[in-house]
Amino acid sequence: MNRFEDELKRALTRRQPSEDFTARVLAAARRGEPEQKDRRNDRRAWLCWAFAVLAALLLVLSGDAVYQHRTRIVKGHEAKRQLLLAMRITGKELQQVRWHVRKISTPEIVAQ
Amino acid sequence: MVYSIGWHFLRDHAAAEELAQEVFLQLHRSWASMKSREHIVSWLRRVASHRATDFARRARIRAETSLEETAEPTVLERVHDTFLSAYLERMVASLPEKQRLVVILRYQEDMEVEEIARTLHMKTATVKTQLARALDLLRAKTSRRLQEVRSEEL
Amino acid sequence: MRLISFKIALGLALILPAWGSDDIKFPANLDRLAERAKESVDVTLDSSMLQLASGFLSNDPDDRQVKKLVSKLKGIYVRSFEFDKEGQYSMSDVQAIRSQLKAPGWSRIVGVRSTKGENSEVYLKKTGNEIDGLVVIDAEPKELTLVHIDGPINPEELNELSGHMGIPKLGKSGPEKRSKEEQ
Repeated sequence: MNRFEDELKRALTRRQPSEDFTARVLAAARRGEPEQKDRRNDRRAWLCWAFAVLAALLLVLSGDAVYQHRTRIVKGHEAKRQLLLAMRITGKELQQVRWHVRKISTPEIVAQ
Repeated sequence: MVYSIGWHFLRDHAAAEELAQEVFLQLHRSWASMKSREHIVSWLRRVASHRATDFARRARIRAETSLEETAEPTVLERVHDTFLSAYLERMVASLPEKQRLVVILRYQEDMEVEEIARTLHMKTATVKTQLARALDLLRAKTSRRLQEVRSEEL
Repeated sequence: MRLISFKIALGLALILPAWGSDDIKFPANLDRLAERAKESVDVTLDSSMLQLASGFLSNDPDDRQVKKLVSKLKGIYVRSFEFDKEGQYSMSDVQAIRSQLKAPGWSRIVGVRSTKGENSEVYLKKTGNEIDGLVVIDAEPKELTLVHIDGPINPEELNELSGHMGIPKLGKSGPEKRSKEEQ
């Protein structure tokens, strides 16, 4: 690139919007349209999109950042699902043990 | 990136923000179809570029005079505008729309000609022509200013 | 002598099974049971994954209760298998875990054996007066469930979840059996 093109690059350095721009965009997205119900309710997709907006505005839309954020969101939801499943199984198992103990210690229930 | 494309194209802060907001909301609606980072970036550039030209036509935002008619910088302008960059920025905004977009995508976004062609749905040869014409125009109008900058630096 | 001790320690480290916390490890060969099972559950959440999961819990009462329960835990590990027919696992699989529960601090607080071949045990690990771990072993003819919760846990707080989150309430006829999908 020659000197003139260097000057042109300098002249066309990326500009930033107002400080509250991101908040306004995110607020507008949250308001959304009725037909977007599924998207609005899909918090995971919304968070990924919001991050992409921020990343694009901050000029750091690196593949790794977006990909890793999406991965983290997916992992987080999966971890939550596993946690709740583990709690359910543990709770159920302890209930069964209590039931067995109650059966043994309460004859009228055993008779049934 | 998106706001900046809008700003350099429209030279209007409010219009550029409105454009950027529309683009991001459209991205929100299209999020499920995004496949990768590269897809998101190229999508944003393409949509921002098309929106910019829509905005320009909608708001009838034009350079006050065309670049060919723009006089050489006056003494007063030279005194107040000591930065070539700012001058170039104004001159870019005065380019015809297609040339303006091509220049912005080339020098703000650092895109190659082929990429610009795909983004704007133009032929590569057309992009090269538009770019060459735009640079010739800009050079012609800024040559004196550039010489002044060089002599100031010496 | 030192070299021999090191070799023994190395050997033990190599043959000691796969995952779990530092003190209780589920045998690695449990994986093969999943191939035979009609349904299986595999949960391995160490402290970092528990923190991640916690961050995604909502503000509804059940999630808040779970968040409180897991806030200090170091890990939760569950293996559960449901088989079409009996005889798909051997008691040596269970014994590999029971033998680890003979370690100091662990004690069996409940052991229930039924004539139908159901065998349920609950072990707690105590450090001082605090419960620092919980293991449940539920071995039935067509089902094997192993739960290890590593860290401070209050079984009564777990009990408070009954009637919520798919955990059956204890009625007169006992808790309902649910499929793993419903869980």
